[in-house]
Amino acid sequence: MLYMPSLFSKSVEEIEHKNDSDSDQVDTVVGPSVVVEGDFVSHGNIVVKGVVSGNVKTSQHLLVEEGAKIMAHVKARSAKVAGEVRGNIKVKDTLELTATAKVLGDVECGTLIVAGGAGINGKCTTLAVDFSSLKETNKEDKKILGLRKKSKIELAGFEEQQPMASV
Amino acid sequence: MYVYLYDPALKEKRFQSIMKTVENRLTDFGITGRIIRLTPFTNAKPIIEDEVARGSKTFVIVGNDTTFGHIMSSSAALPVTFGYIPVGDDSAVAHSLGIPLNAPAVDVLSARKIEPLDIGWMNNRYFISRIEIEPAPLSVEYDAQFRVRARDGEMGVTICNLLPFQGAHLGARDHVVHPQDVQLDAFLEPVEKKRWFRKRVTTQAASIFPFREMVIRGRRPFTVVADGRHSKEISLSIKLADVKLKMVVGKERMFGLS
Repeated sequence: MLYMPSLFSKSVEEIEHKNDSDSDQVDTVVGPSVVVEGDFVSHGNIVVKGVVSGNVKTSQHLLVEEGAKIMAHVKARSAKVAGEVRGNIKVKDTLELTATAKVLGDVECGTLIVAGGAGINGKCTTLAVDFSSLKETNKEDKKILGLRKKSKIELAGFEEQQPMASV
Repeated sequence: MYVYLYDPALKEKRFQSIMKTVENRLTDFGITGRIIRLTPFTNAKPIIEDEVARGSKTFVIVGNDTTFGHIMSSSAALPVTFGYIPVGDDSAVAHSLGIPLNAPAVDVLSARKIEPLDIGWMNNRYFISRIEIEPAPLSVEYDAQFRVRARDGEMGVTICNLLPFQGAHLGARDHVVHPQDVQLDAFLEPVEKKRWFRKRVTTQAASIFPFREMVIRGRRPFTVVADGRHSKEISLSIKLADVKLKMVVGKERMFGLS
């Protein structure tokens, strides 16, 4: 017996858990003349063109357009910010800050892309980069640090003996 | 057994030839049944319940979109299958369900392709297609979590389930409205009054919010058009109903195409 799946029917699970190929579809749009107050949670993509004064959370993509404002924390799978965010941003994959982006808060993401002119006033943490090798100091690094310290002392002594002539 | 709920306007002379063709086609397919002629003030729900007690399982609405909305407002959640034979020149609901007008709709009915559709609940009745709220100073609260208002003044609200958005902003019209996605879609259009001629202008883009539960409050009564039925409300509670509507649909339906 040949099984012919209905073109019409989507199971609730298929609709609610959209796959990556649906990431281009916009589900929620906050227009430029609209103000959202309160915690805003969505399971789909969000485009913010207006003002949201509350936490924004989505399991998909968030786009904050130029001129838009979010005045609380943001959590998304990926995000592109061209407007203003006054709160922490936590993104699982890629966070892109365009030239008009302004972030007043901490940023934590997998991959960070910052365009020239973007402003961040807070701590930045990129989870995709491994910093463990920088924290440990091996023998060669210690040698280099030791040589650097020695040369600093010698230079200081040299300057005491030979003060720099004024230009 | 089929039960046919006839619109009271079908008695008019202009529909007689169409109805003759429809009834002949029903006979050809062997799906004739009991005919009940409604009046403008008939509540269809007790009629359908009586017929269910007699063993009927399929109820076919014969008329226009207003008749369809009127019957569905009280009966959409009943555990029966509904069909639709649109009679007349045009039907947005039939177009969306993939049902042709007049006699060819009988072919769709006989094919009996049944799909579950979402139903909306509004204050004290059901709606299937769309709710349109005229621009007013409104505050909209979604899922008891966040509130939305227009920055400058008034806004119009359209809630779509079966029929697509037909507002001024073309971008919002591209948003796919799906009656099986377990949610309703709200479109908010802020408007701006011009000072001298008091003409209302829709400003910029419409906002789009999928939701399951919503409460709309206004400072003064606002006009609501739900499935063609007009009313005035001061507060409107809209939510996705727990039950589904079992509907006979056609192959040319306008949703579920992705």
